[in-house]
Amino acid sequence: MKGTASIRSRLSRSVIVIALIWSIAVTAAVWTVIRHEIDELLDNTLQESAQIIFALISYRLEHWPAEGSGPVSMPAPKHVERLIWQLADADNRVVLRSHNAPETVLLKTRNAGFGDVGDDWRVITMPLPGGHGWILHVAQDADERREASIEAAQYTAEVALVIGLVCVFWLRRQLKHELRPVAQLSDAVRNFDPLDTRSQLPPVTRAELEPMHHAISALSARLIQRISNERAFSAHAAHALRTPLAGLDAQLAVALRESPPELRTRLLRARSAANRLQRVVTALLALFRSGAEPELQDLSTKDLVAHLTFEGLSISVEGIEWIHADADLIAAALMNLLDNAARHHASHVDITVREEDGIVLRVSDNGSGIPEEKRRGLQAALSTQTYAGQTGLGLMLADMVARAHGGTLKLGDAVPGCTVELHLPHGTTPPRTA
Amino acid sequence: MRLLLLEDDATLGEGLSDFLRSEGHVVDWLTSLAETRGLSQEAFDLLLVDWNLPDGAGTDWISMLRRQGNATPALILTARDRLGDRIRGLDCGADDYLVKPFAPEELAARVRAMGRRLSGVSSHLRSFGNVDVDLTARSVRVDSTPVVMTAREWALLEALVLRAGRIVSRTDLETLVSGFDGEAMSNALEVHISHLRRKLGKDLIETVRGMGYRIQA
Repeated sequence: MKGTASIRSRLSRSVIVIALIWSIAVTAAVWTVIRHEIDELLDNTLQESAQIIFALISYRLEHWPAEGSGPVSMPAPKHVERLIWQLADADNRVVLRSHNAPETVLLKTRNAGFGDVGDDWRVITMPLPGGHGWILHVAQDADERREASIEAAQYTAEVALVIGLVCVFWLRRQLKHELRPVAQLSDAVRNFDPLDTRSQLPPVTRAELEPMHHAISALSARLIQRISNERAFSAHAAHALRTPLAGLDAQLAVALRESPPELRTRLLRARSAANRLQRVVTALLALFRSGAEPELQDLSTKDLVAHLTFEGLSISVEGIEWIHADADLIAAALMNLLDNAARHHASHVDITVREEDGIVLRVSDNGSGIPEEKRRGLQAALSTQTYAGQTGLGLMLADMVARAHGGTLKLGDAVPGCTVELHLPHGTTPPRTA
Repeated sequence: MRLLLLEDDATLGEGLSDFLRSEGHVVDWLTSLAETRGLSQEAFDLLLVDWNLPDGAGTDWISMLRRQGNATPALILTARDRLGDRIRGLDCGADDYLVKPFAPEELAARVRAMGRRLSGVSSHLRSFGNVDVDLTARSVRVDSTPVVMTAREWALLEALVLRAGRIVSRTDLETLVSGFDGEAMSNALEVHISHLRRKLGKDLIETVRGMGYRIQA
């Protein structure tokens, strides 16, 4: 359904976020660990190198340049020097250095141990023996360290991200597989008819679906109980209402035959009212009995209308004869629409049946019609099913009949008179062969 | 026609029996299945049976009659309007099915149709020489001149016309005549046959000695 979050998408998003956070965290951890280990390793190397230089310088100390002769650069083949060193006198002046070492001391401090010169050099300082107060600074290029740390972190992040993405794809695939029972349950529910004793929900294959399965089964049981009660009530109501109505009509018919002429008009009116009551009750019972599912069958609109007789109202039927619908419900809807026409002073009603995305039953009368403003209000009430205080019983019943067939009721704007269209989307019948 | 109406609702039962009597039929109105005991052998032309009766289902009673070989046409009157009920009602052996509420005029028309089916002729207009009978309008013309008839005379004539070509037993006709209230004379049948012969001509109704009467088809 559009606008509804997907479990797969939500979980995928979560895994992507987790993978990103995971790769950042792992990278930071690796960066910290590697940096520490590399620093330790290179510090040891630096220290060892410094000790070698220290030994060499200590051994040859008497041959070093005299004070004040200026810094002497040691010869060396052409190369990029990653390790430099300086020998500084007691006044921190460089007296001897490797060929790439600066002429000023790397560090002012004269304390033995490690130190840093900005981000460029890692320095170890060693005081030389012999009482001259000379200091040896050996420095190592810091870029190498950074490069090693960065490369380690970069490879770690890439591997973590790849693992995360693989996890996302795997999770999506696995989720699709795991959610298949949900889709199967949905299909089963779609085809499940609680009222059909042969219809059963298949057992679930995942523990998480058991509550849903139980809930649907419980809902079905409640539905069956309710429908059963309504059917029982409908049957009782049908008998309790239909028989007295038939008796009333029979008594009035006899009374009309036996009555003196001066009473005939009054009795005719009474019988007309009784007939109207019959129509309304029949329609209500048909709707109530139908509930959600109409009993669809092929029916002849001409035969159907032939049974709907209204005194003072001529009815013509044109168009498609055979439609597929619930005969009782369509009769109920037509009876009420014809009753409306009769009460609005119509003398003739045209019923046309045409095919248009299903079947459209158009009932047009030559009565007093409905004012434009009221018609719009009625149409809005029908569209939103807000019948209360808006529509009369006839239109409401006809609309409910249309909806029971999956269709709609529309008010036409033809004048004079009133036009009502009953749209039945599945009302067409297969072609008939002679 | 002689009709048996099985209907437990007093308002409807009384209304229908009065209406059908006013149509010229003889109506025996019963309100329960218990009252039908001993009646099934009588010659009713048509049974009008409510489905729900206080002591059983009218459909079961019709099924029982059919099992016993009684082929009297039956029409079910019921509040049950579902398709399945209609099918079950007709499958129990009934010939027609009418859902309440119905107009008594429609029931009367169905009774007439059933009568025509009984006679084997679908038309409601029957001619016997110079006598024309309209079963729907309940009118008779002799040489195109309308003849005024009483309800009893019409009932007798209708019974003979519907079975034209066949002998209608004296017992059946006597039951038909005695079905009218207040008729108790032992020679009532002969009196009414005599009246009919006077109005329609002495040759129309033939006496089959020891058996009954007949109109030649």
